[in-house]
Amino acid sequence: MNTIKVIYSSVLATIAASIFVTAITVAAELSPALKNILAGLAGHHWLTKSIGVLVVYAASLTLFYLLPLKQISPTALRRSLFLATVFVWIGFAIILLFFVQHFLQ
Amino acid sequence: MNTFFPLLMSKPVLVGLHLGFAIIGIDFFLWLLGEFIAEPVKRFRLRIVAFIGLAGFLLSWIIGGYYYIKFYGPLVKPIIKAGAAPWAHAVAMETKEHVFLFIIPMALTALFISFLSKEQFSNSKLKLPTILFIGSMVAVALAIGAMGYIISAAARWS
Repeated sequence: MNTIKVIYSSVLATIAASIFVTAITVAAELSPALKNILAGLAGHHWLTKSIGVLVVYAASLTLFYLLPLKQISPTALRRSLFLATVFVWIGFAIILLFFVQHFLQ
Repeated sequence: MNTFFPLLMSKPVLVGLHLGFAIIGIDFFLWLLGEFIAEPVKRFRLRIVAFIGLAGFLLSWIIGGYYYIKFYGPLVKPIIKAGAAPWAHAVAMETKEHVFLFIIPMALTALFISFLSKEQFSNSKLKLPTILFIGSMVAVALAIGAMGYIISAAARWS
């Protein structure tokens, strides 16, 4: 197993997961119909989102690992890890500010 | 066994276990942060620490999720929403329950990084981005913990 490639794939999968969580959270609050669909899938909307993030992460990691990349440069790996950190903070800010705004409406 | 399982599934025990395992996750990833700063040659301890940190967060997630769906929703949420600080649910809980979903992919990534040899880690110049990544994960987890305190306080003093 190529450890560098696993890490790179995991970092990209983390970015994908954070985008998924942010998007599905905002979308479900704005659309009661979507929230009901999510609730119907696993019994509770949050449970569906939890399972969803695991599926998105695992599928993305697998997909990125199977991509025929010749070599992952140290620069690419470093940049992706910085980017993942940025995406997490942006996702945090969007979710927090969305719920503040939603409450104040 | 007849008394142990019901006790384990009681509300205060579930909240305590949820919090306890989260603290284990935070503490072990802080330890991992220190390990990456120190950059030891032998990596076995580093990997064990990362694994235990991940296990802590996973257990906190499962136990917290069970409590949230079974007890918080029907019993605690209505009290908070009708009380003096309804924003404790509308903002703190809603943010907490969704932002937590970032933690497990981050924890898995940190675990994978721990499997690099010292040489691979140094050659890839991963020290600063790894420190920022794990530090951010810990900071997010601490923020989630603070939100948990706000929610508990709002329920207790409603």
